[in-house]
Amino acid sequence: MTGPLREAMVDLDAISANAETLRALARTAHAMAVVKADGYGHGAIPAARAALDGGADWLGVADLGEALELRSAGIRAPVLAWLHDPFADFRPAVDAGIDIGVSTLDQLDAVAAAEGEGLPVVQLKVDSGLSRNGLAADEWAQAFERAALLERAGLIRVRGLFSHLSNASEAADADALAAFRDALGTAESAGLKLELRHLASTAGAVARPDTRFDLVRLGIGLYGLSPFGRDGGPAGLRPAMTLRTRVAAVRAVPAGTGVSYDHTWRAPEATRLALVPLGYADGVPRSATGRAEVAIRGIRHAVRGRIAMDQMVVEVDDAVRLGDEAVVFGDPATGAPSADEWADWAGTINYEIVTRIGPRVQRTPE
Amino acid sequence: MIVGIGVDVVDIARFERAIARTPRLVERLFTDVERDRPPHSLAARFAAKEALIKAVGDSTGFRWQDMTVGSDEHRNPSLVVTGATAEQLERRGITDVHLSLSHDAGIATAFVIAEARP
Repeated sequence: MTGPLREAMVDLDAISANAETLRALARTAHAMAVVKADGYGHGAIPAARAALDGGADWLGVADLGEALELRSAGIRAPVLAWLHDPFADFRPAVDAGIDIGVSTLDQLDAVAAAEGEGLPVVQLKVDSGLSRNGLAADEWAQAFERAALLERAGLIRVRGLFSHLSNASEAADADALAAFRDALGTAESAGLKLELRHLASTAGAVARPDTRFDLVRLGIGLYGLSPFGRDGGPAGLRPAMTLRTRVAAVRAVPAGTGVSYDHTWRAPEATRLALVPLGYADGVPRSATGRAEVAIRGIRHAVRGRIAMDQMVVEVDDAVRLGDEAVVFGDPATGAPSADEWADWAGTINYEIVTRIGPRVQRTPE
Repeated sequence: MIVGIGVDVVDIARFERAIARTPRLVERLFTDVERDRPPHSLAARFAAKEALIKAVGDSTGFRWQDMTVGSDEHRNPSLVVTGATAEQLERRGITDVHLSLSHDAGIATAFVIAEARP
């Protein structure tokens, strides 16, 4: 194996195909590719382009900086950003034609004051049960009336209204949907004409047709992972990321040899150990110690002892040689562990496994 | 002949907060002679302009700066319409606009009748 020592290969065709698959499944008028957090660790700009190629027609990010990076890369597609610095200056985003998700009255006023080269365009975010960002139900009437007034005065344009499901349970999602419909009714009474109403992310797009409205926001599914983890997901998604390196050392050890910090594992009999140069600094979760596996030459081998900052030790068979490719996770169809397995081993979710990949790892889009 | 009626209500406290937070609203929505009036009076004037739009049934071609709420010799409120907005009324055959305003319980209300005289 050649190429960078630490590499996250990103299959852009998989991202395009996943966008196409999910869009065909949801059948909404619009589909937003969510490329926040550097495209869930996959590289925001190549992921955005791949998703647009696959039929997404909107991009979503958390903050304005992420949105402006897309514009700097020459991406002209509509972009929505929804999580803001309390001291944010909205003017550059307005000038760049970015839709601003508004979660508070203060943000609404700040956006209305940010008129620049064009009219500020906002999408109102309502809290439908997550208690995170989004206007609380007791603020809706006032905020929507204010938004309508600002729109009537030609200071902003209100394009849409959106929220996010908790996925806590069927009942919780049904409550959130009812709250969202209430918000839509309140907005209509305030005189707002909404062109984009959106509630569903991948989970809703796949499992709850009644949450789809005008647009679905495709995040985790775009990257080929299921929002339901190993409990299954839509057919036909392909994991886009493969995290790999190459074996940096191989040694034979006698029975009783302790491995890695604290000697949490000792060889019960004579064996061979391979050094795999990826550790928690690279995003490999230390909490997966004792359960994790790595594929070398297409065969899975157990990680032994503590996962360290830069490296982990893998017990291997006689065939493994210095320089062999070691796949930490990738498409399970190739025999490699999946991000879902790593999530289980580490007590987390697949989202975190791909998003936490560290800065030493080179992303190579292909 | 009455060709349209329109009514609008504005929450005075909310309107006052909105113009305090976004002073440009006042420049956008009111003419020079209206701007110095107190917030409850501006709320009623905004309601009057919205009520006129409702009476006409369509805001196409309307401009806030073409509508001024004044008062006649009996100190009754009146709506003076000029410019492009006046042309819109003329096009629809509207010759007179009658306005009544009221404030109570934190709400400003405006009622407008659009009349076409032969």
